[in-house]
Amino acid sequence: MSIVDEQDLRVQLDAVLDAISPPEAPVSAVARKGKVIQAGRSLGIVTGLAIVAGIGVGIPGLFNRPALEVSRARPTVMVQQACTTVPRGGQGTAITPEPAAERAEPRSSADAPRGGRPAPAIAAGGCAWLRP
Amino acid sequence: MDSRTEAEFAEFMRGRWSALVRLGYGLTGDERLAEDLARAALARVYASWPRVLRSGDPDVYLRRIVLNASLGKASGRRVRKRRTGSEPEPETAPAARVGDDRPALVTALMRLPAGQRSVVLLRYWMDMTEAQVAAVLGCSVGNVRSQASRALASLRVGEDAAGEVSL
Repeated sequence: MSIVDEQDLRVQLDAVLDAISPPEAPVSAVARKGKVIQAGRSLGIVTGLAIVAGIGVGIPGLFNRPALEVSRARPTVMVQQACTTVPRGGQGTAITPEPAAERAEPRSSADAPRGGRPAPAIAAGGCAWLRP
Repeated sequence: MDSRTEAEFAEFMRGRWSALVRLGYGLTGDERLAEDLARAALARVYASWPRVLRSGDPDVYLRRIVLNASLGKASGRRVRKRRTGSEPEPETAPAARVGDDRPALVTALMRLPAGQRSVVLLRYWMDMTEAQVAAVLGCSVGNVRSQASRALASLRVGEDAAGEVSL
């Protein structure tokens, strides 16, 4: 083999490569393989989307704490009732009994509102009134 | 793909098959490997046929796949050699085999680095211009020119060395 110049290389390449006689073009085999590649690509896209969706759903769940459990105990509601036995010129308020724990110590008469009924009476429930 | 597109692809493939196998042979020095390369490249083209058609030049795309695949095989061989712990072979691995019955020019081509081999085949066998070769290989025209020049020099030196050995 001797290569003189570019033109000589062209001629020699033609001679060597044209001597190769490839078989018939395997169109159907190539098409089958191409379809497999296509299916693989589609599967990859679907998998990628599923991963992205999973991350989208999962990551907020990692950062958001679950809500604290709500107490199921019955709430205590204090209700004020309009007093019907208010003296003339006074302002009355109905008082409901306080919970037992808060009534442990009986109140003295000094605690009672001036001109009103003493505290034990208030604690027992009823009406208290204030002077105008 | 509908039947019309399938027929288009079949026609395209039949028109390129022989040249592609020959290009593969020039790149690998092995006919079976060349057929495998051509088949794999055409299957990839089939898989994205509508996009390849839209690109306007399916041949560039096809040749690029073949060249990249052959370069990939060359680098794959180097990686495997490194993993086994032995000395990595040069890029021209499939080249000089003892008792090589391939034509001397093919053996000489196999001694070239894969990049130079690609330039030689595209430039001097496929008669592509330097700009076209640069477009296929994704490099500059200057790079193509220098690779071609080095390849020619190597082929001349290689031919001298081979001549000394064989004679």
